[in-house]
Amino acid sequence: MKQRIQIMKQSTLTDDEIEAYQDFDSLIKQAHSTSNKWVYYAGGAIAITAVVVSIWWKGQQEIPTLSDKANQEILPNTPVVNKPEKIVLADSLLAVVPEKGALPEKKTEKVDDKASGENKLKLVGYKQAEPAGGYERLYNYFNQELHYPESALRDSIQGVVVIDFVINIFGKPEQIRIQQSLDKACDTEAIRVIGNMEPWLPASLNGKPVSARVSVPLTFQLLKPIQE
Amino acid sequence: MVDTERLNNKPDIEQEVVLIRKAVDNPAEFSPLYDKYFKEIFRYIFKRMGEKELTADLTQQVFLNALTNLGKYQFRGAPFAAWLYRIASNQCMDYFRKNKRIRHVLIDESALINLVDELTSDQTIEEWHQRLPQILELLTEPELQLIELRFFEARPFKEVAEILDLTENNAKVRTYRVLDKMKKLFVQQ
Repeated sequence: MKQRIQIMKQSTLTDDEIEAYQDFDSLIKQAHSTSNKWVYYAGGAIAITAVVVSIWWKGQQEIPTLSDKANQEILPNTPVVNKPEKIVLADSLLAVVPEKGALPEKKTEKVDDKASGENKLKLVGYKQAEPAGGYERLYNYFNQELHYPESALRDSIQGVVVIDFVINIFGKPEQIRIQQSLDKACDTEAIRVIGNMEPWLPASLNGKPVSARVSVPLTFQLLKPIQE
Repeated sequence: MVDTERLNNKPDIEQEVVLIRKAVDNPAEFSPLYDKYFKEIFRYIFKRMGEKELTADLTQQVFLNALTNLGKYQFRGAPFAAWLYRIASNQCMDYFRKNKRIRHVLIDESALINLVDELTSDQTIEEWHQRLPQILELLTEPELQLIELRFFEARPFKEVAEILDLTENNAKVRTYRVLDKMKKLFVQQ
């Protein structure tokens, strides 16, 4: 790329000149027209999806009954279920540390999942995977084990790592992968903590254990210094 | 030299986060952020484009991209401006790529002093001032961006890093490597 270097005595632009180009109303109009396009695209996509689903539905003679409890994906290739259902589970955990504290004191807390109880699928005879000691014990484990990485602290990195993993038929987490990355150190920490979890009670269908994929968002957030 | 207040004013940053959350649901709430940063972003783009009309179009496009992608914005401790600058930087690069235009680097004379002070403290100051434009022309685009952001726009490393999607430490290391390269070019030429 060619570059042209030009040294100026002072800035050639005044505030008034720039303000003449400022037009928030036009920006809003453009934004609306852009979002309308997406509505059309989304409408088209939904229509196509509906057609595909209806064709698939007709082809399924032995489809399990749906109910509203299960919130994990049953993996394909299990001996019992042929078709995977959707992932819905999302229990969120919040890793919080003071920004300038001597100790990166950390607490985790459960964040309400708006989606819980809504639009979730349940198969009759299906029991979802759950931590052997219950969720309370799992959160305590995260409280103790999830550390804010030093590099993330230094760079004031905050945000969410969404991690998913499979609880296999023996209750062990495997196929751990990052769904939404935050930064390398936070991702690595999330993977470490998930990998070291105690065994879970595996999901089961009609009494037989099946693998299930679980998705968990972990929030890394810096607290304001106490003196402020 | 460096405007450290830009990053340290936490109440402002928190206020911005609140505004951003509101603007996700109601774009009209984006107005204070638009008013606050329009001039900054306009000047940033103008220094690279050198034309007012073109700059106005690209600036509007930056804010449009920001507004339509607000839901994806993640607060990482840096001010909202850093995110806008990153969008602006990408917007400029896209424009140059598609239109094969000459990249401008408009430098205030006062800003040039910051850079020369960093490069030398001896009797070569005058010579540096004269030859700096030619030396800058020999830098690659990423190298030039580091010099512009750090010395011509006097940004803290934390913000430079945020705009260029680097860690703060990496931004420092790369900047000092570019300064070393410039010193070598000065001696060689």
